[in-house]
Amino acid sequence: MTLQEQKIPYLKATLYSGVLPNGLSVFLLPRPSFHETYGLMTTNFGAAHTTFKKAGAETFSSYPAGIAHFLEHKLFEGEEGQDYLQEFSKIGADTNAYTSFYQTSYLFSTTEQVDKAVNLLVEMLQSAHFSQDSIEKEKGIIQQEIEMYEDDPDYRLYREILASLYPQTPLGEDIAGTVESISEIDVESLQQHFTAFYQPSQLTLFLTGNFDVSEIWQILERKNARQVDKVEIECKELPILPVLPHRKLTLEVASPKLAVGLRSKGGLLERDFYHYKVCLSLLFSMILGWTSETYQDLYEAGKIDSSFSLNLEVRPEYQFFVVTVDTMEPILVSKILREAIRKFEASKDLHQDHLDLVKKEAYGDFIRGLNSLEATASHFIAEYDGKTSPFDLPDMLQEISLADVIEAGKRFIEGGELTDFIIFPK
Amino acid sequence: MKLQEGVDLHFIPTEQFTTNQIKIRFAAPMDKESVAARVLAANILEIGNQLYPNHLAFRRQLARMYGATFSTSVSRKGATHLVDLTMTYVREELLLEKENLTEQVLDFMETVLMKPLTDKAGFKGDVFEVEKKNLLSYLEAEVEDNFYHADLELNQLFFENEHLQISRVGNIELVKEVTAESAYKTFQSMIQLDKIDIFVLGSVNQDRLVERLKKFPFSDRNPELSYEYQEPSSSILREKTEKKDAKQSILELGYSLQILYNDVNYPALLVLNGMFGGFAHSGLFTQIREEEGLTYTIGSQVNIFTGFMRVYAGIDRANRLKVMRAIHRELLKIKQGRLTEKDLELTKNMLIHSALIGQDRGKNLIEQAYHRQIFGERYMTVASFIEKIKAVTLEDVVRVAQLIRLQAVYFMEGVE
Repeated sequence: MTLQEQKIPYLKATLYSGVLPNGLSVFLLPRPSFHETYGLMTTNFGAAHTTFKKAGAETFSSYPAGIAHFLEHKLFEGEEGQDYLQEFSKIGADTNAYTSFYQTSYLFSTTEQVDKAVNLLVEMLQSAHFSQDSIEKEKGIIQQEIEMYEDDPDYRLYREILASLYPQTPLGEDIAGTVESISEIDVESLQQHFTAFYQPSQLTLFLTGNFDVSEIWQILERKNARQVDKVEIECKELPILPVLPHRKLTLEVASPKLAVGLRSKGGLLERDFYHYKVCLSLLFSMILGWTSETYQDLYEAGKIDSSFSLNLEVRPEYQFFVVTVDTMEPILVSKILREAIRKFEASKDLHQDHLDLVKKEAYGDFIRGLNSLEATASHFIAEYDGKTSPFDLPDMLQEISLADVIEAGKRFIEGGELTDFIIFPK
Repeated sequence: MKLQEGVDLHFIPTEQFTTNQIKIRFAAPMDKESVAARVLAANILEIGNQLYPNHLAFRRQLARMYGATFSTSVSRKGATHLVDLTMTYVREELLLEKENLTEQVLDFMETVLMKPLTDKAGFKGDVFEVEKKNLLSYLEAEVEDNFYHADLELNQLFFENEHLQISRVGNIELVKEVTAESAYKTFQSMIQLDKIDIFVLGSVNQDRLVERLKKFPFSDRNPELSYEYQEPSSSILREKTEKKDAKQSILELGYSLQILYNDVNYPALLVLNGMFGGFAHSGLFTQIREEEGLTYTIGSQVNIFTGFMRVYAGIDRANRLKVMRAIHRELLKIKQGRLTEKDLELTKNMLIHSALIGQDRGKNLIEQAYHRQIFGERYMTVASFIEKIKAVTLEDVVRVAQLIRLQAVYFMEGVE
């Protein structure tokens, strides 16, 4: 079994990749000038995947909102009741995990004994052990976590705009679920999720930092030598219901908070969607970003402040764009933003010079991100579409033309649905 | 190296990073009369200057410099208030075309400092008003972040010194009093009187950089600064409870330490904090969160420069007494020496791990250079830190635990 190599000239580094006999995908990026080694292991299953079946089965089964996140907490429990958090501490390593709509990721950071840390991470995701007792205790902890998120108005705003864009889907729910939904979680449902989504062939390991490639690869080969039959899992497509028009809420906040969202008519994307996403992020930087006249006019008029933020999500299953901002004039600002998005082709900011400028900025941002092993790993894992390496971004940026950006914009925006959500102060 | 009296330049040469970083730090005594004006001045510098007069021109120039970042930030070290101007930019050999980016970045910084947006004797009126309004809404929005709000409330309870009760960004009353003229006057005094440290991290041509920085019009200065503050210990426990519209309640406890940076008890204090609430294997985390399931967020942290240890917990309001008793119990365990060698070893490993990882972060390397400057011979190198942590015994931890005294308790009761 040989490793594939991709040279990364701007890092003076090489990315090694391979697939182990049991199906686990591995990416190794040595950075010998660092003290740290950072490992990230991810399954492409997250909060959005609550309805699924084995390929060929007749009916789909549905699970409570928040089950992916619940499983993330429980996988830290080992076979003999040991806690993996403590096992990592014993070798002087830090560990953590996080759940998004489409992925669940487990990580460690260490400055010694990389071999042991890698073994622990792989081992942790290879078997699951739950008891009803420990599940009940976890419900108390997660309840506190959910309430903490609910008390954060910015988080609430983002969740509500998604609920407007994707009504009656897990995208409109908290990633951690609700106190009610998690109360239904039991040993059986967790076990079924684990069996479906933690097959080695669904997992990717990204390791970067100070380690020896051949030593780590040998360890991984030993650990993952057994062939495993893959069970195909089919997730139900998200139901696409009409977008909910203007909704609002009052909370204890200082100034009104506005979210404007666009749901692309999209449809399922092919595997190679990274290029499309990069074009779109350049487009939105141009028409609404820091260097745009739209932003400047709103800021100078005192209508928006630096809380203004752009969020673009492009996944095979869903594609949306959300702007959030604190503003005293939410209704007016919403109208201006919706207009700017809908009529993007008429924007004064959409021209070649401005594209060159935002490309330069995007290049700098990307290069800066490589200073952090954590940012490098999480960027790769979140953006890797199975085909294009996110490390190709510098070349990709050079090649993208204004026509590419406009075409991507048309595809994304035309036929899409816009809405807004406002939180007013009490 | 010394550029002027009170103006020092620090090179931190490294090839490890893809970007270089330049930071100019202004230091003055923490004073409630000036803190709000310093914050406003820093915010205005981020908006524009005479050469790049609005946000758009400013941001476009940064984008042109390959997305160089410019930011200002304020912080506090002991009884000293710090204002930082920081720029990061891509190393020149990684640029797509050959450019002298270091020079462009220094030009930009000089313009920011020497040609701010002014008219007559103050900052430009309309710009000042927008930034003042933004800072006021930021401070009003503080109420939305419950943990941050609780932190500030605990500080007010804990410190008797009025300058330390105030957050590093001031407060609403203080900001309201600032005018375009008073902010500009404060800014002038930063340029003329503050201690200045300039840090250059990465790979640059040092000689050229020194030549360029010598042209910045900084004159001699010599302010008296105190980087360490100790609250006089009191036998009276200060308590405050307030109700707030929230699902979750927050309990915070403040302990006084009577321990200084790098004194004989400092390494054992860090170990104690790690065993008490600093790490995932700590008493607070394993017992109160994992065993009893009473909380999701709980932990402890030490601020050595203000002699202060904070414990924070997000809880259900019905569990206030239960959690409070559990926190006391976990600290008592340490005071009574009911600790294992295994936990001691774990804690030391984690502290050493954090110190080593810190060597991979530019921000930390700059902070170390600053500590070397302000503490002189008392500065603790990473090597000596690791050595001293390794030498800590359980007896040391127990001895240090006796110095820790509960001074303040804040409870935010969430009600719906």
